[in-house]
Amino acid sequence: MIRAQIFHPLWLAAGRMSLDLEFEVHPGELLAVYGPSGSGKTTLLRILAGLVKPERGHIRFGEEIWLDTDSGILVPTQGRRIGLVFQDYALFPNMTVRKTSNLPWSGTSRKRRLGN
Amino acid sequence: MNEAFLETLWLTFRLASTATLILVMLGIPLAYGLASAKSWRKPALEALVSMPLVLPPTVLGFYLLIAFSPDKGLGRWLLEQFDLRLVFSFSGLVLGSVLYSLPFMVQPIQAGFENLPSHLAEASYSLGKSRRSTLFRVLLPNIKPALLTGMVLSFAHTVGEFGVILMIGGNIPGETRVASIAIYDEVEGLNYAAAHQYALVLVVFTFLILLGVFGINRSFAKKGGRA
Repeated sequence: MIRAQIFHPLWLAAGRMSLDLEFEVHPGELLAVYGPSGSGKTTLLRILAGLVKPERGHIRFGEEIWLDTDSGILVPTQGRRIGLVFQDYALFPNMTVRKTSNLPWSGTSRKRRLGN
Repeated sequence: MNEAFLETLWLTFRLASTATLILVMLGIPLAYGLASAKSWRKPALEALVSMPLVLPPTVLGFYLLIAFSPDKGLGRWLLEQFDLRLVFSFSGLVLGSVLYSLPFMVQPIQAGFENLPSHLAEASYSLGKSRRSTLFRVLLPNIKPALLTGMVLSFAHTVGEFGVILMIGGNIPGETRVASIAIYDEVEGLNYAAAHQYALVLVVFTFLILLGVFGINRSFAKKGGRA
């Protein structure tokens, strides 16, 4: 289960607004987020992935706490088991498809690969 | 071609490759740090790194000479503690060249990092890769042209260095007498034939090296970065 509480100011062409969210996603659930451009959908995903640190917030993934601004916890992207499909482009120009799909396991032992 | 001529060219080559090697190890982390820095320190650091571009080489040489002269302060301490003499010695020239060519290594690499889409690094982080392994597996392979430009410019710039070497190196054959100094020395001695030899070698060398960089970068561009 993912439980998230997020408060994060956004600066847009239209001026300042705040992303203020609180939600839970349970196992087996599929959550779709929609809204006009610039309403913070991408920012929300980036906050969940750990690429943006929100001003205030708390994110819990199962038993793991990924973010708690009150107690200063911020698990970096690498430590979160999360996948993210980027909007415009995130192919590594220097790698083949095989190399790219093997990247997450490169440098780890075979045991850990199987474990994951 | 006599022995002194070859010795001078060999020394020039040794100095330039040593300085370039050190600059690669120093320049990549520095450029990476600068490219990802956001604080107020960034402009200050950038200014510091770029100073050898605009500062007269004699100024740099003068300060190095003062700092490392073996009869006082830092220079004396280095000599006593490590038996390291940085004026009128090859190691001193390496140090001077590293400082003098630093912007030629850092600036292209920094620009290379800054021009990469930030999604590349973020995608790599989301696949669990650390900053270090992202640097080596994703970022560096995608800025090969910038790396090559940085290395070649640093090398060529060190070959062409004159003022700094004159100040801290002098003109010791086999130790600090590099090609640019040798030309000056031969002209002063009205030995124009020898000066011509050095000058011609440098002209041809410089042209070939720049031709190589532009040619290789052109083929990188054609392949769209895939190497």
